[in-house]
Amino acid sequence: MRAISLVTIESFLLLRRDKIFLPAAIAGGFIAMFANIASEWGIEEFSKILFDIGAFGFHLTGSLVAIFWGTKTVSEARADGSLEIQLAAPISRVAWLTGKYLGLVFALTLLWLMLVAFWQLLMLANDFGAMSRPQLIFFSFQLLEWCLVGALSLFFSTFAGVTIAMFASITTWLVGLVTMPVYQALPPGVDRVTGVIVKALAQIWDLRQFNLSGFAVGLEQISDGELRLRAAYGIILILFIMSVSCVFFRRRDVMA
Amino acid sequence: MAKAPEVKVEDVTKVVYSDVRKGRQTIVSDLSVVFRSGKSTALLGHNGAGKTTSIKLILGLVRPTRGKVMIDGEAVGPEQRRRIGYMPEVNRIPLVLNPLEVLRFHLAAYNPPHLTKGKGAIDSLIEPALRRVDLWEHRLKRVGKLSKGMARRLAWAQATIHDPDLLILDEPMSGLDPVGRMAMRDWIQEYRKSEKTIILCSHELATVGELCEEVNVLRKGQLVYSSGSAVAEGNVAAKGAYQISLSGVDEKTLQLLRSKQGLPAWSALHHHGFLARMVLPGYAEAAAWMQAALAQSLLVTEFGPAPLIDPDDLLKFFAKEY
Repeated sequence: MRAISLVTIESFLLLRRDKIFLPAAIAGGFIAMFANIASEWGIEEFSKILFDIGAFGFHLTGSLVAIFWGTKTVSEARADGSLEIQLAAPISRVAWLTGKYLGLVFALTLLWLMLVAFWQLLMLANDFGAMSRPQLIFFSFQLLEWCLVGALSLFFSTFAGVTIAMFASITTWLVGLVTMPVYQALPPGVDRVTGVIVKALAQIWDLRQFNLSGFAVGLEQISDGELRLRAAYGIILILFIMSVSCVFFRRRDVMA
Repeated sequence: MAKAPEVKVEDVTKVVYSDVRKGRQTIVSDLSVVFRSGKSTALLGHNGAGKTTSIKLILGLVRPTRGKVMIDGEAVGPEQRRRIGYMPEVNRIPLVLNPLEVLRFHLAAYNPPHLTKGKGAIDSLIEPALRRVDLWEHRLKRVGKLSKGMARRLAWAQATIHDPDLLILDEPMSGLDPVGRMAMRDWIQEYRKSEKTIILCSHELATVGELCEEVNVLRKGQLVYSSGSAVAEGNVAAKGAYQISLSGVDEKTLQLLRSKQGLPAWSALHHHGFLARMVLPGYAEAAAWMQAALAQSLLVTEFGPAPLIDPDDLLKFFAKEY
């Protein structure tokens, strides 16, 4: 535990000082402001537009930062050699990777807190008052998705360089966003094998599970049980990806 | 004080898959070498000879394809690594941290026995370590803002702050100016006196000669020379030996000196053109030779303690035929 907490603190510190932290927070804020302006001009309900565009911005900013940081945490540490000096210390590889991931989660949480606070200010400015429970749940699921995408890029980084890991992470993330719509849009005459594969993929890797913008504005009803199931789905995926990452990472040689 | 560890590399082979074009490459082949407890041992070789990979095998960063690496009879794991201090060839420190944070993290990770419990215990060890390497004033400056020499000094502080029994140094002098080199040499010398095991990789033969008692030479991943006791008896000067360097020496003068002074059993004499360098068992013999040389109107360019290994002897290990 000591080793994990040490690496967590160090990883959090490194990410907090990363050049991308502030620009990401500002970009997230700008998108929310843009959503605010667009919703004032829009003919649809104000809050729906605000949440649709805002959710997209929130999702995009956080996921891209998670991919960037997840990749950077391992691949860049390997490229610049800091991985070598840390693994030469009495820290097991599993503890190192777990600590790095937890540091990433804390850094993403800090970014999330900043963006949620900004969002809350925006709501207050539009006389919406404090955030409702569904809205808070919506944002929490966004954070869960960021953490999942971060785990994914960490996984790719355990065996690939920065560029490949980043490309693979972005591709897999985008696949996760479209699997269910693709499955739902499959024509009836599609061959059986394709149908089975697309269905399996849509059931295993469906990042739309974390998009609750309809629920946040009251257009969609989701029971607490269903919310718990979706949260468990995300956590199980994270645990699975991290476990596989640890298995890969334990066997890797550290060659700068 | 715990006995310094002995590192045993037994029949280790490391094969890596480079790329499609090169395929599998053997980086280290059937390497068997012992780094004896309390000795400072050099690991030499051309670029790409397998020195850094051998070090990484000892640190457990690279897994051998065949064979095993043991530290005091045990496979390398976190407990063995706790006893190791490692200074890599280039600085491997995150640039956004400052020296204080680097050493805090490092000490907390190693948790050495001399680290007392309680608030401020870590910082009480860090301050003298940073002062020693002249970085206390720069303790809050980010590593990326430090000069190369400062970063190397920080790397030394990082490698030694937990008082390791086994110190692994990969090109410790690289990137240092002459003053920095001298300081680094003194620090390593001091570390040697505490009877710790030191493994030193360096291309600087003079440094190796001064700091190491034993030498292993790698070539294309294979051990082509291991000094062990043979060199210690033959080519290596014993502790307390002296050397004299003379200028303006022709063959005739040298013969004359030889006939007058004689040469003790294991003394070494190198004669290149008009330069001669002699390594003699002790101060008295060296002083007698110096007087004789001065009487012949020769110029004595150097007189002082001899390196433990003669750099001229080391040079031949790099020759093509080896």
